[in-house]
Amino acid sequence: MTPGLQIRSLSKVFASTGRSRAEVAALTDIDFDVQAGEIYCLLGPSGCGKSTILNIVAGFERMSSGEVAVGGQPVSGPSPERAFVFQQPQLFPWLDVWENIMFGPSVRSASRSGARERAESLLAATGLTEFRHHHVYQLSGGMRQRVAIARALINQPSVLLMDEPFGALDAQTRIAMQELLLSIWDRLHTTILFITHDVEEALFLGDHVGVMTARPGRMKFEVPIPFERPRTVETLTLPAFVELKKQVMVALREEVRPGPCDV
Amino acid sequence: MLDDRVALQSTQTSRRRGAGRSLGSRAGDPRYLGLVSVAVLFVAWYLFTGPYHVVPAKFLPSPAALVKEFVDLSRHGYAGTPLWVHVGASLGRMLAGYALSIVVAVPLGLFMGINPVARGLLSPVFNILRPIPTIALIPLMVLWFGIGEESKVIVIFLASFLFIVLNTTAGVMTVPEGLVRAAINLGANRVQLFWRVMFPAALPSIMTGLKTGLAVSWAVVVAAELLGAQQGIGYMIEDAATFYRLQAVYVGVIFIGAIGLVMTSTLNLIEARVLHWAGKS
Ligand SMILES: Nc1ncnc2c1ncn2[C@@H]1O[C@H](COP(=O)(O)OP(=O)(O)O)[C@@H](O)[C@H]1O
Ligand SMILES: [Mg+2]
Repeated sequence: MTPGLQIRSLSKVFASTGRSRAEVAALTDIDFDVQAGEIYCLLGPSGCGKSTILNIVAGFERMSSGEVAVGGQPVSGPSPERAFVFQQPQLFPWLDVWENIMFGPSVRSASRSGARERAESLLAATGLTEFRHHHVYQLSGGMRQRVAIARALINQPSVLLMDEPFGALDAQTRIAMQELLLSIWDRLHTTILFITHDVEEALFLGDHVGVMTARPGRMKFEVPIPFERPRTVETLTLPAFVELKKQVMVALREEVRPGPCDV
Repeated sequence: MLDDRVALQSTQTSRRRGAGRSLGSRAGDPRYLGLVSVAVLFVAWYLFTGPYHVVPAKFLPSPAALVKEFVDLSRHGYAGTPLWVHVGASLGRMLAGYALSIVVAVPLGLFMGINPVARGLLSPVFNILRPIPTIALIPLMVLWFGIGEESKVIVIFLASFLFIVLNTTAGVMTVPEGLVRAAINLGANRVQLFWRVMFPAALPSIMTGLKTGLAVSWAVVVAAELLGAQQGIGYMIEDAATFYRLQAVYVGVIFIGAIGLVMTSTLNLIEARVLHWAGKS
């Protein structure tokens, strides 16, 4: 189990750019905790600032005000401690699967033998053992995202940040990837902040689900997800699951309806 | 936007695959089609200059005449200089100018790619210079550097220089932001980010610059050799034309084409080997 993530009074205003004069208030006073070792799913309408939160936590983007802490220690700037899995896999196409996974340890000159062992077990966990020498362009979309997950986890991060990582995959692959993620998490219990706009995905994966308002994004409410683990496809059809899904969808729809939603 | 691009690429891929499948047989392979058209041209050349004499030999000699001329030139050389010395002189100038161009242009292009100040200062200058054909600069180069080897090598250098710089800069600047973020997130420092991500990501674009640069540099070799050279294929072509030795002119032209083809194929081969991922999604 890795330490939790604390987000306090986080706000973000994008400065006006050349074309659009106006400043963009993207986030207002975001507060939430991701408990140590849990999966926290953040749901919200498109353009509400979900990616902005993740980019700030990862250190890609500066916050306007507020605080981000891991295990109580404030953080700023990018670090492999807060590993990122993007919506597109962002693998290095000139490297093969193994080299992509080993990229982190090789640039950080971390202990090679330890890294190799972790790479082997991550290959096995993601079902890629036989594909270690394949090139990126020889892999399917789901396999590429599995490489991206292994590449992020080999650095042994405290927090795994995932920005709609399965959003571009077809429905069957998406469910398989969700189950795979849960099986890996079940072993490592890495703290995960997972962004999605898919209600079912959030409820299936999360220990907590936070729902955001439309822009400027605020936290609207947070629900604990009671379903027992390990969760399987059957979980999706439990009456309690269906009922909770309905409630969250209704709440989200309120956010999508009123304003013009920008994509 | 990103999704659009992915979608676009995948439709292109499937279209390419689809085309290959629908034609199926070897006859549909563009390479075989190319052989067919080359063969047709050759046969037409043979028929029109030989048996049917449609084209007078003073415009286009027959293949047999050219082969004979080639054998003669190989034996006796041209203007007292062996043929291979002419070929070697042209190749030597070409490689010197082109290598100089790579050595200067690639680092400069990389630097402009990562340094906005250098880019801001130099890009406008290069954009003004770009439309000027190198051939127009030959008289100037002769004034500056004389009619010796220097001016020729510099002309060849200039011909490819901008192509390589601009493609290299573009390659660095179009490295996907996502790859940069991924590398930083995985722990790469600035030096590692450059050498292990930006540089390899820019290589396909650099290669495009190298290929274009090779073609234009080779093209100006002949023009550069028109000025005061006593050796070189360009000199041979020019001199032979003056004395109406049409067959020697054609042999020179064919040499230019053949050597260009060999050099381009070599780069293509290197590209296919080293940049195996380029153009695949
Ligand atoms: N670099 C930027 N400059 C200006 N506005 C931005 C920038 N990045 C995001 N935004 C705006 O901030 C809002 C939130 O964006 P984002 O975090 O990507 O939303 P989400 O991931 O929830 O769809 C959007 O309205 C978007 O237009
Ligand atoms: Mg987003």
